[in-house]
Amino acid sequence: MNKDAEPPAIELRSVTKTFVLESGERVVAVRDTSLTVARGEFVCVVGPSGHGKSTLLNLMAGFIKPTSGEILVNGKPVEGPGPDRGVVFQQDTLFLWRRVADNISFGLEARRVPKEERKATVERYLKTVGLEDFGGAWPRQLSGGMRRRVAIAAVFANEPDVFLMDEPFVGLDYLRRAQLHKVLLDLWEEGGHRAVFMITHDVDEALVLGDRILVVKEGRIVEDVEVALPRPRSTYMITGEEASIIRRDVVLHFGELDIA
Amino acid sequence: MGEAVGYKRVPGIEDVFGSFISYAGFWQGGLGAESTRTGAESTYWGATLGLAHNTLITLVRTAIGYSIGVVAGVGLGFLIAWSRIARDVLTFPAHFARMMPLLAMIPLFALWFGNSELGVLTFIVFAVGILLFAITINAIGNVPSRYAQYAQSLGADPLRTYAKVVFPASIPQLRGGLLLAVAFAWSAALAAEFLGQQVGLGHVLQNALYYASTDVVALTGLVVIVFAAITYLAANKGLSWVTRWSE
Ligand SMILES: Nc1ncnc2c1ncn2[C@@H]1O[C@H](COP(=O)(O)OP(=O)(O)OP(=O)(O)O)[C@@H](O)[C@H]1O
Ligand SMILES: [Mg+2]
Repeated sequence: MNKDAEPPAIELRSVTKTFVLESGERVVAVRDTSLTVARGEFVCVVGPSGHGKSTLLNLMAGFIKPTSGEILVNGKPVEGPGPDRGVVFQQDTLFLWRRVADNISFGLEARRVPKEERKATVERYLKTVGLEDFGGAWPRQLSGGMRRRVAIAAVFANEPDVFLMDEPFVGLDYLRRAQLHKVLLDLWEEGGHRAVFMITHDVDEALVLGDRILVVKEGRIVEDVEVALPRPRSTYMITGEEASIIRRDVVLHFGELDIA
Repeated sequence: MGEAVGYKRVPGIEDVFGSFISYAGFWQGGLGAESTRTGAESTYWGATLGLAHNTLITLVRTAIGYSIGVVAGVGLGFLIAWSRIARDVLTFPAHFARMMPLLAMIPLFALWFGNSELGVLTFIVFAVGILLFAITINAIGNVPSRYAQYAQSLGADPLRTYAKVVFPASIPQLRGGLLLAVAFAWSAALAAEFLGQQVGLGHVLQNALYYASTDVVALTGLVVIVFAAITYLAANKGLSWVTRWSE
């Protein structure tokens, strides 16, 4: 089969999302946006707060429906949430009443994966995220960084085609983030490079992780730049000249700061 | 100054504890203690049996009524809240029903069930059930939608999402209601016994009040407080275990 004939992982065709507030006011959160994410592509999304990044992700996840336009994942129209698209939320969504291992197996149970296979998968992912000793712990017994690892493992273990992540590392310190970047990239490589659409407000994070950085502003993609740095990327590399050019480009597209 | 003569209305501490012997009058005989109604002397053994019997009866009624009320109230709330529309429509009437003066409804239950055991139980179930029905509907409505969204993005169908995610997520919010319902169950049991039963602590209270034996009333009140506190603490302990995962 010709690879070019395969549909892209994510495709948005002139998507608009308008919210009507209770006051009757209309908010256009996403404006006539078209986008193609190739299979295996790691896309990072940055942009000012309240400009439609999460709305874009929620549309792809199927949590909300577009006001107009079309969204396709692997060539199929999105009609609601489904296991082909794994979602990592900004806020904690771990099931507090399930132990760590049972959190990771939730999706597998839902998809009726046989018990033996489930057990093996859960163990494998616990190991990848470095939590093999915590399978029997309750989520409340874990630190913030450990919880993020569980959340990511739970979604990766379900082997979706596309990963949607909304600021998954927000609120974690620099070192924890660096660890989690490695965990995420390991999982991404292990899983055969499935497409990732990840929102972040940290341009450096986007430079470490992304193949491509989108800047979303006022509901539109105002910049779309390729990050052609080799992997794995060192701190040295992302503070180098090539990275600096991309960073400047991205930051300038945020718009002039009001305080300037 | 002459000594005051007459009937003592406000009992002292010794009077209260001394009135223990009166419980012999609430023992219908057996286990080595004759009923005082047959003319036998009041004995401490008879009093012990009288108190134990009446306490046990009330305790069992409260426990059974509470259990059925919890299952009925939470279960019905859970089923109804499945439908968002039903949930929105019923939230207000449920809270209204919750505020209904329960005691005023006892005659209604007496009318429906007579002074039967079934009437007592139904009344407790009703008191506990209405409260928990309202609280369950509310708790389920308060579960953040991202839990359900997350479950569905992992492949869970709506039924699995509701039963295995939304419901457990609501349990910590039910906790306060489940504890409050223990108190409801006690007052419902006592009130129902007070108004039409021949046995139980509520009946003892009614009888003692009728004969103006305020010392027996006080002592019985004390017994109620002690047992209500014990059941409350037991329920609290059980609920702590059930929600041990909660933050
Ligand atoms: N469910 C909703 N109902 C009404 N308005 C909404 C809703 N969700 C988002 N909006 C509005 O849409 C706009 C875009 O919001 P969105 O959450 O997508 O921003 P964001 O770029 O993710 O911001 P942040 O970086 O702060 O997370 C905002 O004006 C917001 O108020
Ligand atoms: Mg957002």
